Amino acid sequence: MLKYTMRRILLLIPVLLGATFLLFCMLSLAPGDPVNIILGADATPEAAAVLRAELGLDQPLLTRYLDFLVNMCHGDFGLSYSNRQPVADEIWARFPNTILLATLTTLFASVIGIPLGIISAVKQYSVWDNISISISLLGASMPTFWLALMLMLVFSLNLGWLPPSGSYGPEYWILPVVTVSLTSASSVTRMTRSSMLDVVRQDYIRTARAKGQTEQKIILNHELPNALIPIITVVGMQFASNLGGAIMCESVFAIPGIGTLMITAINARNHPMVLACSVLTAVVFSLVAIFVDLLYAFVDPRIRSQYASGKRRTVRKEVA
Amino acid sequence: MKKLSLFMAFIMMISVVFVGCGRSTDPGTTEPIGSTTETKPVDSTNKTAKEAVTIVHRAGPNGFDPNTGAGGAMSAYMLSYLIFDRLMEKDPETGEFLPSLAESWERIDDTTFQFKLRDDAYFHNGEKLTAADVVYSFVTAATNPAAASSFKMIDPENTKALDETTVELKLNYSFGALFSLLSGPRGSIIPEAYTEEVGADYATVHPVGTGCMKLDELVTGDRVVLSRNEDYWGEKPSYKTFTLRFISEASTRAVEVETGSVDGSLYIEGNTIDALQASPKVQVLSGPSYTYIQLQLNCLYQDQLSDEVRQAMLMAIDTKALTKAVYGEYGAAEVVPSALTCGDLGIEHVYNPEKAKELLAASDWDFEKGVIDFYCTNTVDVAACSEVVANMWTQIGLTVKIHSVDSAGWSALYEGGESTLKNVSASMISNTCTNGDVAFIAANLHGYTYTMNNIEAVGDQADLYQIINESATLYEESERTAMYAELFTELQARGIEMYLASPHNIQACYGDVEGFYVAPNNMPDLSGMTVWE
Repeated sequence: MLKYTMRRILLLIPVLLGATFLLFCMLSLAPGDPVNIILGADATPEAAAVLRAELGLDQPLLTRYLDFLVNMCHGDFGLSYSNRQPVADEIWARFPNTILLATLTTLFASVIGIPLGIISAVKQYSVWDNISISISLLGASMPTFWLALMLMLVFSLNLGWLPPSGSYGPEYWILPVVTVSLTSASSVTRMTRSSMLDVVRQDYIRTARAKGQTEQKIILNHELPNALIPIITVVGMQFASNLGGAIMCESVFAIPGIGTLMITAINARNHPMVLACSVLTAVVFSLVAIFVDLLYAFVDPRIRSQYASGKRRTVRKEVA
Repeated sequence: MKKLSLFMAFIMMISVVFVGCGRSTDPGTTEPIGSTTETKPVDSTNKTAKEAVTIVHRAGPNGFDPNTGAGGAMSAYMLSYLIFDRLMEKDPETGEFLPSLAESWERIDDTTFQFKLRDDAYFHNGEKLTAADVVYSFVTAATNPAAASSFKMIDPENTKALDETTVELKLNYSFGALFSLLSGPRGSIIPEAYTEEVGADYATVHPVGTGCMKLDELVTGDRVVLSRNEDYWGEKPSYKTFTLRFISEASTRAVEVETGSVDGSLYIEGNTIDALQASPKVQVLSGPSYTYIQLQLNCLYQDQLSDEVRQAMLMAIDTKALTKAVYGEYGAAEVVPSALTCGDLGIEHVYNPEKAKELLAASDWDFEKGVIDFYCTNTVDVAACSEVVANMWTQIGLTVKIHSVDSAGWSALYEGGESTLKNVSASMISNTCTNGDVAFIAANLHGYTYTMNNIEAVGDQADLYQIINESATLYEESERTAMYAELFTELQARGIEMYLASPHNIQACYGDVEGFYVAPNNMPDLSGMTVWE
């Protein structure tokens, strides 16, 4: 298991190299000169040349990329073009908000989505199934932006129960979390339902029922554990995408997070900030993927035994 | 059937909840706000002023450098009004220049000014304001690459302190808009010793001025908190702390005001006004601005558009219809914003689509293959304006292709020089002249390296270049007005450049508020604001 984990972590290196190089090229090729944005359009050519040299923008692309890599390995993402402060400082000031939103959202989505999916599968074609499918359909169809504003109008403006925006206390997080969770929960519900439906028709479930097991025990001990792998995958991916993808929610609820920071940085051609945010997102995304893989082993003894014998790849194919 | 009924009932219930709790946007229930630019007087008997005031802005600053505006962030300029003082202030109503750090001033000759400073002003760190600080502020600005273009008229070598409280400001050439510059946000005075000691961080995280408020906290992307400067030389604000929150989403800003979670908000957008006006505790204010929608037609590369085609394009634009379509009653179809110094220049836009068609027919325009490549920035109002203008051009027989770019991409067109500019037929952007002097708009016509209507470079427009240079040097207001009127009339007549509309600035506040007003540059000095409990 440790060997497998180490291998996956080492695989992060080429992934990051590829991602950063692609991004570096895209940023360099995008129209818009950072020097022009910093100094203003009417700066003298001499002043622009001095600043360009100071920022290293007069160097060839490959040299700049290698410099970036060397500095990144030392934990130095450079200075923000916008305010000449260390990029890392601004990211660490905002990252806790993004992590908190993604964590709460994933937890809430799981708490809603998994039970709804189970009920839907167990009571297939019943009223509960229809309600559950309707809720997940609504969640998937409603644009986050619209839902966020509707919730704000209802709970902040009309009822006055919750503050409209900000991140100054627990009550401020309720609306953003519910907004993103409803979308995430719909995916979790649908995946849980389909995964459970695959399992409930298996012979061992019929056997357990024939042996007189209670319905509750069948669901919790036999059906759910065997249906968990696709659910874990979806939950993991939802968490990862919420880390970088809750931009709309951050914008509407005025949460200073990584998403809005990245958008601002892209508009300002603040290359160091965009690169640092992207590296951070890529690292967290990859770590979540590794964590999800390790969770497979925790919930499925077959995978655990294959990890132990070093045949993980074969088993993954079988599972897939 | 039963299941279907249940499902439908569920959907109906959800719809009723959202629709029933929505906003009332019945236009018949609200009155137009016209141009109420300031809050109504409040009977403050038995009322106490709030100690903490919170205002919302749409974007946070990257820093507080008053000379550069920290990359042009409007919130940085607005905060600089509270943190720093300037030599003089401009009365928002009369346009008169009033004493501030300078008690008096004198024009020795066209390029020499003397300012007598007050003796009781101190910076937030306890240092006393001296003439050396004022000299340092201007010399720093004139030599800072990011600010030099605005201060290029200042002669840094000959500007000097005559004594502790007297400054002699020397100019490279006479400059009529000098007081507008000095009273604007870029004219803020910074402390020499402290700035040198702190270095580059000064402008970013440790601003120190002589203003009525000082920086307490900067939470990047979220808020800036200022606290009252108890040693301020002038009248202190009624509040002890001032928080400027940053909310990019316009609907959220409106809800924050409507719920009373904040005391006021700038940048209220037209589609939220009806709901705000329906709330009895909310006051919505609007007024003219220094913002203008700028349309440029490519005359630098003559093979792109001939004189006739450009004139036809400008004649085809119905600015009144455009302003009504995009801004409703919250905008003015002005060729040059009348809120600017020099006032209404009295320039009428010539809208004549029939004449435009005639000009076009007589021109060398290829109606089959010719395409107008129209580059516009991707802000909401510019995008809307560009759609309307493109339709108007289509009406006279032109084929128009709109290219939407962000502001960095827009600038890149001009950075590319001929290689990119020759592919641009027309461009549109929204600009704000922060210090409100028309001279700075005129200066852009030849000063900017990125304008494709670089008057200096276009040989047959040399007379306009002369007008721009001459008008900038005039101190007499009536003479300046006449020259600028001539300049902008000619720009339109020759099909070079035109300002199509000037949107109003709209703000809102909640409860009993006084001193909250609409500033044309969207940077109200809120030191005089009072919020009553």
